[in-house]
Amino acid sequence: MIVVLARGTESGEAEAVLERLRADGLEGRLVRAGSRSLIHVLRGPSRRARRLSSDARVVAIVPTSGPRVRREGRRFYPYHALRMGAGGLVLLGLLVGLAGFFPPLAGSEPGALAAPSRALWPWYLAPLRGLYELLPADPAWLAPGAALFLFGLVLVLPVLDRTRGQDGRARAPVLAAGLLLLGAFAALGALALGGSS
Amino acid sequence: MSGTTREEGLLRALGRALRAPVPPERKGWFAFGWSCLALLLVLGTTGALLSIYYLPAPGAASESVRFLMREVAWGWLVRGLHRWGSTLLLVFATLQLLRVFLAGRYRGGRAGNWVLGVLLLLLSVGLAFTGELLAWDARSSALAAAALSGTESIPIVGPALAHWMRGGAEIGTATLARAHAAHALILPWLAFLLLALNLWLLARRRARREA
Repeated sequence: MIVVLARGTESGEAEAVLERLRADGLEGRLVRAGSRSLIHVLRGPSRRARRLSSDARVVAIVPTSGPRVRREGRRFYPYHALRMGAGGLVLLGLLVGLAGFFPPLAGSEPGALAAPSRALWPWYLAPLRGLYELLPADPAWLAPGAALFLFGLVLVLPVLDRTRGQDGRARAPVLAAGLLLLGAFAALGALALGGSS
Repeated sequence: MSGTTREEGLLRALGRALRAPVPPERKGWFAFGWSCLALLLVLGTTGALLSIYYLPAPGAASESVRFLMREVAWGWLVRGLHRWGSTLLLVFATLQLLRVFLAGRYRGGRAGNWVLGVLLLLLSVGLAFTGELLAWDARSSALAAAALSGTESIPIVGPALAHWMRGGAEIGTATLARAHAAHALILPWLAFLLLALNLWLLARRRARREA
């Protein structure tokens, strides 16, 4: 934020404005721009500088958002901290809504072990279940081996992808392979979930 | 360094961190990364509350869950928050990894963060799965049997691993005790360690860039 002082403001008066800022917990530096004096507010809660707008020596208060802010980003506090707080509240609301409208089952009576069916598998294991269904049961290592191979492929992605920069053409094969893998996971999941209905 | 000076140092460092600008390219972190952190907090809190009423014994587990759902004030809400929290965590963690993949942010010295992120997603799946078993009703015991049968099919290590997870020849008290220990102690601590390591790597990278 820049505090613009009136033309012809003496250095003593400019120092007085600076002192007033300091009293409000702000740190700034005096800058001479031709015949005009400016105060660049460096640190502190800049909204307090707005109190100076009633001061006769102050002509304007200019926020320093702009190219620099766009390039370097906004400060974590208060900008992102407030967004995160609001996001957290929305998330909590969503959770309460889901828990209220779709509460978990209270649980059935414990009994004899039911025969394992495809319906009992949770949704997040559906791609793994689909892989087990797609591949032949013999040899027994085939399905777990394929699952381990796919997991390893995702894990060592930084080693496999040697491209640099954001050049879309150079990254196209990697992106295509990744999206293909994701599509395969989704198809396997759909296969498992579709078979269980 | 005296206590007061150290405190001042910590406060100053915290103040610097709060005032530091967040580069525009890192704004996306706040969408999914922050959501994952917030959900982990919710899961930790609700998990601690659920553990007050949960009894990890085959005869009593499902009864304690039913008691929590029907008799304990707001018990249904706490369990609902825990269950939906774990579901949303899996969704957001997957979306975060997908975002990192599409932006190519696993390259250029970020390989460690990618590996830790994938392992954290795997741990989240493990936590969700062991949580499914804890109700120990007909469905969860059948699920345990099916999972153990799948584990046994893994070559070489499968049978021994399944035997260890089962806690003996039959599914029973030891199986539930192992699932409970994994869900309430081992996996959360592992996740906490990986998360701390992930954040430390991010902070170190930022400090190096600013130096």
